[in-house]
Amino acid sequence: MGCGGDDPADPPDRSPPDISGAYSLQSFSSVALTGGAVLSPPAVSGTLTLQQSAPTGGEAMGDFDLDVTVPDGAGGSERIVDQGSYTVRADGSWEQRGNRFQGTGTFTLAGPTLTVNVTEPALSVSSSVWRRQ
Amino acid sequence: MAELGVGAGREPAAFEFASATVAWVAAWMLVALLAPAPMSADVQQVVPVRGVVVAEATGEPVAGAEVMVRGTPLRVLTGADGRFEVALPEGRSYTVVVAAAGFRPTERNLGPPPERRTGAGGVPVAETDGVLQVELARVLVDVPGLTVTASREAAAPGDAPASVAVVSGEELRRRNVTDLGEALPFAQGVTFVAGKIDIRGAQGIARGVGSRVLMLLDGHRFLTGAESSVEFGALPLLDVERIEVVKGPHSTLWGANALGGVVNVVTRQPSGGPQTIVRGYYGVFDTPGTMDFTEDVLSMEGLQLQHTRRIGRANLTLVGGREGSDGFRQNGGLKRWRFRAKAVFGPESAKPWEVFANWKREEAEEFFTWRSATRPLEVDPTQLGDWTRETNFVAGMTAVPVANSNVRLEARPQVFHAQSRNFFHDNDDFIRSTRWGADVQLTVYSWGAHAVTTGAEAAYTQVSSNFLAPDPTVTDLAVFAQDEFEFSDRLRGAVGVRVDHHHASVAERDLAINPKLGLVYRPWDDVSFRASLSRGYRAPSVSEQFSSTTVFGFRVVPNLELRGESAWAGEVGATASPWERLWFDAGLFWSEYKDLIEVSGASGEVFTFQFRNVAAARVRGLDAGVRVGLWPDNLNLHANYLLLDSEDERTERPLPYRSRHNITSTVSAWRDRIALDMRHRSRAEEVLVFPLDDRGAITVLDLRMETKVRDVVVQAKVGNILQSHYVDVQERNPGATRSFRVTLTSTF
Repeated sequence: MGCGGDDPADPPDRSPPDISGAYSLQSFSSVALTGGAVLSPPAVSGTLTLQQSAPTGGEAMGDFDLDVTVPDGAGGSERIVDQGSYTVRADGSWEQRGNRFQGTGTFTLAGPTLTVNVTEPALSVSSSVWRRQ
Repeated sequence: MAELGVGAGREPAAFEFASATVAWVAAWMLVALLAPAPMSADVQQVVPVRGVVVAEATGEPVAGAEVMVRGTPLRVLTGADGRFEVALPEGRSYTVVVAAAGFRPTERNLGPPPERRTGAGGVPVAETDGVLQVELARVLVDVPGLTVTASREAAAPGDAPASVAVVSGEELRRRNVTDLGEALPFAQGVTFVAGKIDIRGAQGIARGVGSRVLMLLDGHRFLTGAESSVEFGALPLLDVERIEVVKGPHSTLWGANALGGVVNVVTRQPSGGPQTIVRGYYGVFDTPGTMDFTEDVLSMEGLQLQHTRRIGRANLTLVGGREGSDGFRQNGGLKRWRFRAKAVFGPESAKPWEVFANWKREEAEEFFTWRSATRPLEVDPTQLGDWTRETNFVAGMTAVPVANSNVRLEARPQVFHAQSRNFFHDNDDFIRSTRWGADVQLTVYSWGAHAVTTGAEAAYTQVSSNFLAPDPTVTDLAVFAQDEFEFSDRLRGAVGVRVDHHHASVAERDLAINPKLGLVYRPWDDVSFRASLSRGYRAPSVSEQFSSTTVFGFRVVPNLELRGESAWAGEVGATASPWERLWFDAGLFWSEYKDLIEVSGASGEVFTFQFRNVAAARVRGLDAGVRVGLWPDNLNLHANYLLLDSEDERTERPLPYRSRHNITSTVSAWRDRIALDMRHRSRAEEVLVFPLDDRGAITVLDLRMETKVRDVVVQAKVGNILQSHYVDVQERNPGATRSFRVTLTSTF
């Protein structure tokens, strides 16, 4: 799912968008974690902070801070915190290398809305929608 | 031919079918057990045949050699004077197979009575005053001898329709290992991942999932009752005669867990006068400067004592020992105490009775994942001091009340108690399990060229824990039958089936039917071809079915509908030793796994996990091994290659934690005074959790040296001599750093 640009005729060496910023969680779904159901606040809540460096060679790297609260399956909630680096490419691909979670997939930025679809590994397959604060 | 999940009360028809099947097979078994053996030894004239086994080069008697009479269930051991005696009906020809560690297996013909004697070298059975002398030639390369696991009866090399690798006790000693898990990676077809044994790619890593390899100790099941996991630290080391690794599904004879294969640790039958072995070692880990995390010297040490003596008609072995290690990484310490007692009554008779008891306590610190890629030998500070205590007690008996030239009856009762408790900063989970089990096996050889083995097995397991809901009990029942038959002197076949019924309280019942078919063709004495097709099965473990806990903040719930996992597998292979300096074995295998158990999201629940039957997979490959005496006694090569081509049918990608190419080799020189061991595996193509972490191929070299100073064997070992830094397949787990170890062994 190439999502980094609107025009497939764009030259391949163009840069990915700058997605730096602070985002709040709008929705989350995962086959493994939510049985495919889409959860929205207040069931889930959280923030994602991205700091992106200048792009080189069609990709850009940055650091992320993730802080989300999810149901723990027993009526309570669990806070998940992770930090690490991420890479975005002009072709719309996404890689996150967190201390706790890793994954590859795709991203789209449409206005203030960032959508991240993690497709690998199987345990982490998920879709999350974030809104820039 | 699949296992049937039978919901109690929900599928009465299926339940009735299951019950009826079990009842039918049980009845059939009863008939088999009660059927009179035609022309049993009781109605024929039986004469004792006496023999002596000596070393060809020196004429010295060989004690503890195994003597098997082909076509009968008779097998005996030679005494301290190399002598043996078997009772055989007269008027027939027999072939005696003799095998002993360090010697080439040898066959001798026992000819017919004098009036019908034709062949040279035949020994008339009727001549009771004659003594058959069998001379054994020392092997120039280590080759397998008799094995007992593939057929549940003694089989001469190349006779079993299965792929069997053997690690001899002498090889174990030479490798200077501290537990069996250190030596088994050098067995053909075997790899290790995160401390779990894997045969031909069956296992991989799945945290909490039970073993897909069945571990046996002298034929007794050696898996914990709740987790179905292998406790390598509880297995003996000093008195191991050999380890037999039977590859591919063998549930037809051994039942649950024999999905990837069976490993049988066969202990030595002591013979001769009193003997004491003292073995001690001390070593240090060499931490690379860039990874240093402590100023202390990281050391390891161990002391084991074994005493064997004969008391009356019984041989007694007592073993005790303590080991300790700081480990090569932070929070990697280990303390272990082991005690073992074994008594064999009538060890040289065809009907020995054997009892044993093993006890082990282990206190091991936990290393989950590294702190960071730049500090790979350290753990997260919050996990410092986390440790686990495990205690195991296993006792069992092998009784052979009947053994003659037609019939052998064997019974194996056993109890396995295991308890474990976490002492973690955030978790003090405990689990205790006790499994009471017994199996009975009857082999009848009197139907022409058939050897029919039938048997039954029953076990009852009690489990208590703070993280299981509820505390379950488990009942396992099984019946099995196998017929091994000879089409001709050169062509043998085997057909068998086993029915396993597994029922954990309040959970689904599981009924598995596991057939097998095998053929062995021996065009020449030193060459055999084999082909087999079989089904394997693993019942869900208690931990998988009943876990109710919170891990890393996420809830894990029981799955009472969990079924067993299964595999169909086929193999064609060959074993040959066309030259006394060369032995090789190769097999092409193919396995289709179904209903593999993995941790997955609980259906319809949010952020909740459970063990589920989710995966189907295919593994095929090539498994080859060669042993060559390049320059006998001065330069020997032992090498194995395992090619794994796997595919997860859901993702159409390779199965995680498997390497496509796996190579081990040992080059030894000057009668093994010096040896170089190499382990190589290519980069695992898939991992489950951290796929973006750097990972690569693994190549580790170990150097071993050995000499004798007076009566003390001095061994030195440098592990990871090139100080390779690698991720040990499982993400964020470093491989062992370089280590130096000196071992002294004195036998008196």
